[in-house]
Amino acid sequence: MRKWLAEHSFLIVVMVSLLLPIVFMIVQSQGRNTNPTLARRLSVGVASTAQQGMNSVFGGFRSFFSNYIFLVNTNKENQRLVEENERLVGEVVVAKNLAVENAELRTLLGLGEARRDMDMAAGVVISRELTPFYRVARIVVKLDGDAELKKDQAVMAHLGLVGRVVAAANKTGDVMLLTDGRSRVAAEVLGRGILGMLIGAGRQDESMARLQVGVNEPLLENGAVVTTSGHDQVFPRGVEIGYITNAEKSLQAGPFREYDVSLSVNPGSLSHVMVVTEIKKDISPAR
Amino acid sequence: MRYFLLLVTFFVLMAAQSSFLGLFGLGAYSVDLPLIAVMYLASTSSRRRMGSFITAVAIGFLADSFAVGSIFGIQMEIAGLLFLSSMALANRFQWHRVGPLMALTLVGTIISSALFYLLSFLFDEGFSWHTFDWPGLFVRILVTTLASPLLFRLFGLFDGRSRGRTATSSLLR
Repeated sequence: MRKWLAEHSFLIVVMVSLLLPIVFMIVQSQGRNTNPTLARRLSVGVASTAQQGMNSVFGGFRSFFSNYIFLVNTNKENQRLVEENERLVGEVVVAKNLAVENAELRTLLGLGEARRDMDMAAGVVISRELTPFYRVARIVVKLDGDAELKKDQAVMAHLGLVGRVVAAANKTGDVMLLTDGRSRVAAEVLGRGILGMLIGAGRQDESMARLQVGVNEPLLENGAVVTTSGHDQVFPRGVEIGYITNAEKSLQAGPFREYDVSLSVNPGSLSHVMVVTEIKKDISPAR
Repeated sequence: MRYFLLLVTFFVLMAAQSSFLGLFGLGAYSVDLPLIAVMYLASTSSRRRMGSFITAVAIGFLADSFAVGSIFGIQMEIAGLLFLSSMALANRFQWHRVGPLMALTLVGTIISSALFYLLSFLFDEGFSWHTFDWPGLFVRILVTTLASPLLFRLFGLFDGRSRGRTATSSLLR
């Protein structure tokens, strides 16, 4: 028996080795045991771990070569990206400007719809004259549309009054700002019934004006809102001008008391304005 | 020791194959490594048939481990059968010449693929002839045939170190 086994050992091993996989396959095909055997799980686990390890190694090589060695066209690609970046930055700037302009126009449109007591025409600030202290001393406005500019027309922004037209030619005109020393605007303190005159401070280093009221009027406090009174027949009533500041430092000048007024509109930030072309006296101002 | 080193070499090559080929964007051109390993084993094992045969079946077992999802045992069966047929042909052909080697590899790859699909058809319920990838099979046969001299040389390099000589020293000279 031993001799026979020794003589036929190779044949026996071959038969067993070839039959064993067939048994495996038959068992799997008949679905008797859906769970993989421990040996199967172990071998697959080892194989997949080895493959993952190799993937990491070759992935490292790949990233090293692609990031540091194979830099073909990288310079060209960088140049293209730089140009694209510059183009996109330019577009962003344009988009931001458009957004600001759009927001400003929307507010101006809202102003035009809110103030039914006057007709207004939209205009663009085409020039600014600066003082030596970089304050805006004067602006030049050009009207859109068919309307023409005339002298003494009121110029407004959505935040309040800007000034008046002092010289006009067709659609273009110079606007005297409220800070100008020659500027005079009939004003009142909102809700207090105190009338007065807003006079431009005429200072080149700050955008201020002074409110002149009668010395017998009650003292005003900081933050009191100053609006146009409409008595000068130039500016419509109820347009915001600014608010009182430094009330405790108000000065008496003859029969008047003068308060500093901080203006609502910063002329430096203006790009679009509304010009009052006609005041409808039969409609009360309502904002 | 020799068989262990061959198994280790085969295991490393199997693990590295897809990653290595993917490095050069050649992931689709995989080689039938079990076939080459078994043929190499058969061509260099005229004396110790038993150990070589068991090693060939072990190669099939490892190949099954790398073929997740397929029926376990197919590669073992194919490896055993191919080893026996290669053994029978070992003395009749000059394995160490490129031409005969490539011709035998071509035949072996075709037989191996046929056996794989036959066994899959018989034992794998999920197998469908509609999913038969003819172009992929053709590429695999071609690449395996072309790469067989190099892989024989590679196996010979590792194998020769374990035995102190190079089994395929005449190849590619």
